[in-house]
Amino acid sequence: MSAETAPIYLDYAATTPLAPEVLEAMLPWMRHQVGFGNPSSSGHAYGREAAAAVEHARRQVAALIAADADGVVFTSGATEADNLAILGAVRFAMARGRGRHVVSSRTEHSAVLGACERLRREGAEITLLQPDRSGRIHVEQVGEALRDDTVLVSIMHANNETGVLQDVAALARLLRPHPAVLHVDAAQSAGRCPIRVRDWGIDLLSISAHKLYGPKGIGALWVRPRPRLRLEPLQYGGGQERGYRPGTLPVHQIVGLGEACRLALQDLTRESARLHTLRARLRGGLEALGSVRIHGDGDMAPHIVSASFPCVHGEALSLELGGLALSAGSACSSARPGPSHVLRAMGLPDSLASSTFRFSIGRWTSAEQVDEAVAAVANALERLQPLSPLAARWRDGEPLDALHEY
Amino acid sequence: MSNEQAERSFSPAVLAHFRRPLHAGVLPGGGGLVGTGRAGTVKSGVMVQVQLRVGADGHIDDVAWLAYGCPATLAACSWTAERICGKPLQEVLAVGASDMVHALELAPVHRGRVLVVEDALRAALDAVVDGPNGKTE
Ligand SMILES: Cc1ncc(COP(=O)(O)O)c(C=O)c1O
Repeated sequence: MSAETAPIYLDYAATTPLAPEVLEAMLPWMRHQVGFGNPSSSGHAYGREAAAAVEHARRQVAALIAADADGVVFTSGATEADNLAILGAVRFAMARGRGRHVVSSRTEHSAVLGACERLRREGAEITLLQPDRSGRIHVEQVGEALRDDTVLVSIMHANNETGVLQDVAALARLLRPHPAVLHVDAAQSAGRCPIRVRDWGIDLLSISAHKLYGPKGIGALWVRPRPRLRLEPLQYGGGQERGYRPGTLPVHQIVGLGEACRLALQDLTRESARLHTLRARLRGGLEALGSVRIHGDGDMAPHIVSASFPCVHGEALSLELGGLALSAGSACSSARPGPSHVLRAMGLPDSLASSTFRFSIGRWTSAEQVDEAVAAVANALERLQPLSPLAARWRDGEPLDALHEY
Repeated sequence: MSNEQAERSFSPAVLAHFRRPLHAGVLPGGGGLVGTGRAGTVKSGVMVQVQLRVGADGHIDDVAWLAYGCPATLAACSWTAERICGKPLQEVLAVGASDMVHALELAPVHRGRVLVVEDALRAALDAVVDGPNGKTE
């Protein structure tokens, strides 16, 4: 891929490039003579220096989510954080006869759904809430689903396919009198939306470095330290990370996550406002094309626009949009092809889900790129719609939604 | 990257027809016997409409198609329209999905889809040969 032919990157929800500042912060911890110490080696300076770097990063992570630093547990990413939170909390409760019911939703990331599915096979009961057509779970729905034996509620903050934000602060309020703990997957929202773990009263929260300009392969689960929330660990070993996640800490990765969190917090207000403006420009530009449906409304993350183009086939549009690096809605967050479970849960027909694209913007997206992307979509539709029997029906006045019922 | 990869999964013939499709649209009203054939559903991912106009000499005077489908499906419609336009009905009756697969070097995953193109062509031919749905204007 040469620079001139490189497609415009509009897939920041899949992953973000490493910020140059993050790379600079990481490098010293990968050098031959310094920075290689094991943070558990408290008997010498190499180890103590590494441990100090890890603790510094821990505070940077905690600051981004307004939480106590001693709750941060480093993991390999949000997938592991989700698994540790869900399997860990429910297995711990089940082993002590405290309950076996879990409430989550149909639009969660597959890391959450996969962990819930595993628990089902271990004897847990899982209630997956159905979102409304805009993708939102209502607090009352969670209230109605709660039982005396509910031990965990897991609801994501920003959805990775649509950007729909859930009101996790209200969820935490609802759960305050209930023994169930609240887990929030904040992989998409951390660094893009304000998160106040302490004020809101969240018990477990997952984040991932590579969604916020940090390196791949590192993330964190914040685990409420007071009163101490106990989890059954996923692995056993040397007791690092208070036993929640043993294993020698990858110092350079952790330093990278910490620096990424610091940068994100420093720019949060400005960058979030800038992205909201760009997102509105993108959304407005696409909407003006007419034959398009945008998914999700109300409170939205600033970086995602999910749009369906009902008149044309997704694969044809995909080939035509080769100049844009996008995610297709049909194969969004996983390697598995097939219609997206998120769009299905929002009531979208499968054929329409396959003409759905996720545009996600970030730090290096410019207004010009957004305009170019909209123009590219306009050109593609202009070329493909005259070939489509559906476009003719749409122009004759048939509603977009009806076209995919044939 | 994305483009190169997508392009590699389609043959040059498919890409050429996809980029410059021939005979797309609907036939204008007018003289001759016009037959329209439709096949497939949006839900299954392929829907095709083929229209033929047969002249007094039994040749296909004009062809038009519309399709909701992947690039291979669109290319198959374009190739077929070009292949049959101006040809005698007898010759066109023999054109089918295996010709499309061969001419466009279609990958196995695309073979099922062009059967829908063949079905739409057959339906259009039935309409002009048997007449019930064909109309003389
Ligand atoms: C909402 C959400 N949760 C979890 C993950 C998984 O994160 P990771 O790649 O760090 O395992 C992702 C990203 O793919 C995500 O968007």
